[in-house]
Amino acid sequence: MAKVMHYDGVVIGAGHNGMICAGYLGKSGQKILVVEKNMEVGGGLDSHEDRNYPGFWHNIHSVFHRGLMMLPWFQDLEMERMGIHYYKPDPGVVQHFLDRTYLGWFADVERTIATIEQFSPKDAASFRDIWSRWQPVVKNVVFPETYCPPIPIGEKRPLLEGLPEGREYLRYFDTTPEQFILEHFEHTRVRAFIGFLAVMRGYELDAPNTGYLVPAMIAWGVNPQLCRGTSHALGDNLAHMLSHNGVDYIEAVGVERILVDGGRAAGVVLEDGTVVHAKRFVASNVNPVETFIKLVGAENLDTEFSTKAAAFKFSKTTPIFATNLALNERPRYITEDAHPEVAESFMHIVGLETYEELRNLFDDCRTGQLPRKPFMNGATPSYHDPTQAPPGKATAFMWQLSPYNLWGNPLNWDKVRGEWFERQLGVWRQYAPNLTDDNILSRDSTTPLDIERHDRNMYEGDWMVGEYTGDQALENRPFPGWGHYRTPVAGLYLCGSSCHPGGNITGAPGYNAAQTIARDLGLKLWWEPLDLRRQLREMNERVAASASAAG
Amino acid sequence: MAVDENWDVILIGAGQNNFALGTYLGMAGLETVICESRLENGGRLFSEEITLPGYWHNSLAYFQDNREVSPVWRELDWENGHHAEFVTPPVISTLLLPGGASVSHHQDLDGTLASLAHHSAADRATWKEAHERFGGIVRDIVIPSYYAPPEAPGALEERIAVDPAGADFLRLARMSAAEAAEQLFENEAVRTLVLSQMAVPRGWALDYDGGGREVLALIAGDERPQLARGGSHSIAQVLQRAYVMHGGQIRALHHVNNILVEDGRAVGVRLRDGREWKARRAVVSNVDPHGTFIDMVGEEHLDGGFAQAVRAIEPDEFSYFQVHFALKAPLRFAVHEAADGFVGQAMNVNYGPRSVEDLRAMWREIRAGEFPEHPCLHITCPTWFDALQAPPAKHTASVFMPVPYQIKGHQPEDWVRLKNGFMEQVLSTLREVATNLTDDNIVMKVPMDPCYLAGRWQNMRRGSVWVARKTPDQMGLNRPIPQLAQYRTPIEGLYQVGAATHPADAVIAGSGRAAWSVLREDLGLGN
Repeated sequence: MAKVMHYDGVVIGAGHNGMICAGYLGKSGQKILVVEKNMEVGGGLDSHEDRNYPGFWHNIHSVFHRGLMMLPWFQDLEMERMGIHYYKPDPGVVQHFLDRTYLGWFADVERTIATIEQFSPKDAASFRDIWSRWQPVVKNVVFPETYCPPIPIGEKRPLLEGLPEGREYLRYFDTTPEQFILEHFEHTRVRAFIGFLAVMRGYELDAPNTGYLVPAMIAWGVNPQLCRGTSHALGDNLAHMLSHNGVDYIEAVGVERILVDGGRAAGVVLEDGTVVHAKRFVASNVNPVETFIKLVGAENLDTEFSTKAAAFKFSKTTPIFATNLALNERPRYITEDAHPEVAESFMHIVGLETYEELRNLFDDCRTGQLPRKPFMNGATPSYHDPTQAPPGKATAFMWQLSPYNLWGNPLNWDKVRGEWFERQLGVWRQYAPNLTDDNILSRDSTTPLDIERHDRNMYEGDWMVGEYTGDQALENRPFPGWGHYRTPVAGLYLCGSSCHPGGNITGAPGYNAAQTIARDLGLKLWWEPLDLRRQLREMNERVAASASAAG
Repeated sequence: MAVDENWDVILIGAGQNNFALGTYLGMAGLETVICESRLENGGRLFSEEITLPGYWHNSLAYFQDNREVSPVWRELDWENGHHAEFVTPPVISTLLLPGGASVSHHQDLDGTLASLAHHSAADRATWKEAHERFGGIVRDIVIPSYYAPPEAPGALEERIAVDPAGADFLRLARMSAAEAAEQLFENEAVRTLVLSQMAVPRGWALDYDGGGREVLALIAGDERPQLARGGSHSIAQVLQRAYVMHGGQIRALHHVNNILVEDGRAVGVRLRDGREWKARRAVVSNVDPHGTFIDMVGEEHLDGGFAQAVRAIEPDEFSYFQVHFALKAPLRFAVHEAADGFVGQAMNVNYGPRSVEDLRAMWREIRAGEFPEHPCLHITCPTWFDALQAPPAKHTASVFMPVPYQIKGHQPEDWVRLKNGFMEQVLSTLREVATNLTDDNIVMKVPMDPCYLAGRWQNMRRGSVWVARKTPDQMGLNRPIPQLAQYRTPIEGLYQVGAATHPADAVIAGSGRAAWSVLREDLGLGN
């Protein structure tokens, strides 16, 4: 006899967005169950111990988090009180070159610009110009847009046209990241540096309507931060936050299907047959193909919508092959002798010497070939957070963007795993020659296929959980017309990375979905959500007022 | 003021006992934090994707028992309040014998008796009689004693002696496991079935006095071992939820370097990163006594005799070697299953020893520092019972076996080089009975050695899973030494729980609950 449970709401998937969404609604008094397929909560906030040497912890998915302690949900949900702390290394990023020069991204923009200047004074000037012009765009448009349900462009455009920062935003809105980069930077290394950092956020170089994200990144700053006690600590402590707010969660059992009753989401059936009734809502943190085709079922949807859902695109260029090392001694980069500050960097980029190499990688990933030349970004987490390795020892990793469908079949990754690991290590060693066999205690790898194996939601190893292109961005994410976290099934919502603003550890999809759900349920909001629409209107009013005052 | 600096009670180690104790303290209104040196909570209640993502392997405690009879489960509402789910394999252990024969210990008495009947009518009768005569003593006296501080000498025995079967029970319980099994049973297969379950999972050698009680508890049948749905770590998550819901905080990868002592009193801890946290009421350590006192407190705060006694605590004589398999098809023992279908429903498929003498040979080899030539393999295929522990239509299997911590002529650190060779040795033994364990069926295999265990769980010094050897001089009121037997320590405000203390982790959270009764009194927390 199947077990039956009753809740106000069910959240499918205990990734960070699902837990954030559940946390807000739980704190609003809703009785909620979060269901997680894996044994561990956290989704991409996943870390595990080295298989050969205990006490070394590898962050096998997300590592580079951006300004989390400043984010609205981090503060609203009191995550610092839950013990979460971030290290903020400076520089945030260093790209090493074989001639022992480097490009770096520092907290102080002038130091960043100084590293660009050595390659191109023109690019340095361009960078400074973009940085300063885009400060108000980020502050007044891009940041609030990230933490609000998207406003359709038809409504947004007139609101933006009246404002200087709005016009700046619109100026690059139709472009691709590549167009922006080629137009504003001339040196191949500078182009590669900025291009790679954009790509590492999950952007597609040639995707229309995403070009504005590059100047936004420049002005916002690329200053990744490291979660104390590994990325998984954030996942775990989000779960503790749930318990503190009276939210239930269960692991190690997936959702088999979403119950639809009279066109309304009425609950879920778990893999073990348990029926969970949801009186008020079901929120799915998993991708739309899984949500609609597998869990809801095409029979409960109109054909047009289910066709759209089935056609949701996953990125060919975000999957990663990770090399994780347990080391006697941290990697020492060839640039360190002349520039000791690079040792302090959180992210290290090696192997990328020209923009063309970045472009080639896109072609290789899309055609399912091994990258013709490895270049990678990684870090030495234990250098900044000694808890991640035994005293005196080190952990370090490098990520190579790689195709999921290697030579047409992801299972090929199991065959080439060892060989490709050594190939990546060979390139890494050119930049960090102390990574000798003596220094390496243990080698651990995660392939694009492993990403999907661990996180079934990340189809095709796409940790962005859906290609980030104009037709799958902002109000078009996941599909045009459905960028508001609601779905055609009443009471069913999406709250994960397949919604605006996409993947990465931002918490924004969960935060935005919580607001939408709370308003639909008529709950009193205990927090004060950002409101881009109101903010833009007020700014327009001020502009109009000062114009009339001047007139 | 900085975050996290002040607490009522600081608990070191996120094992089951501190979770239970911390939950009781939280219910009493205290602010507590658990500092855990690992990333994952739960200590030995651990599951991980050690072969490939999607395959969850239980890499130490692979089943749980004594749940239904546990007051902790009831008092903390673990089952109903926090989503504990279990599956119950019908057979607890089966012992595979040559020629396809087997003998099985079932959850239900009739199943066991039917299996024993194939080997010995007399032993069948003996088992039934022992089950009936001693069951009440185990249920009403022995099991409850696991959840309270150890009693004065003779007190437990006096209560047992009142029972009509008490004298017989005590006579057998004082014997070693081998003596008790040989006294009770005539058939070699039956004796071996019982005795093959003494090291793994109970931590008893054949010849430790008092092991007879384990034999009687096994026959009494109230332990009812089960698999946690999804993997053992889900139990840890249940315990965690209960603890956090009652206000507890957990800090993972927070290594405690020192317990701060002022004027003979424990006042807080210093973490590896230098932060100092204050404990207003108490510090509780779930770490082994050597770690607690020699490493964290420091000998300058200890009486020389006490420090000497802590150093002299004997670890287990054996550790665990494990091999974990990710499989395409479920493991099969076709020859044995054809003869008795229950083999395919056993939580433990034991293979290796054919006689008590084989087990004695294993112990001689372990004590001589040899990887056993006479191994005792405990094979478990969780996906026979719980498909959720592997990807759809895929399977897991694990082998656990007692081995020495240190191989003669080697350092413990050499295991990392030796483990693959030993894994192949285990695999070839396994293939004598596991009929479909072909290279093609194995997606991935990973060994785990005692040195790795010791590094991972630092309280398991020298790979000692039970932390302190279960010899009579370290049990009951002597566990692990008389000065620590009541969970209080020579440092005021510092308490010791964990497997090193009574009841030696015979059950989930026994010392956590027993220590709660001590802390409640010391801290004046009422009822």
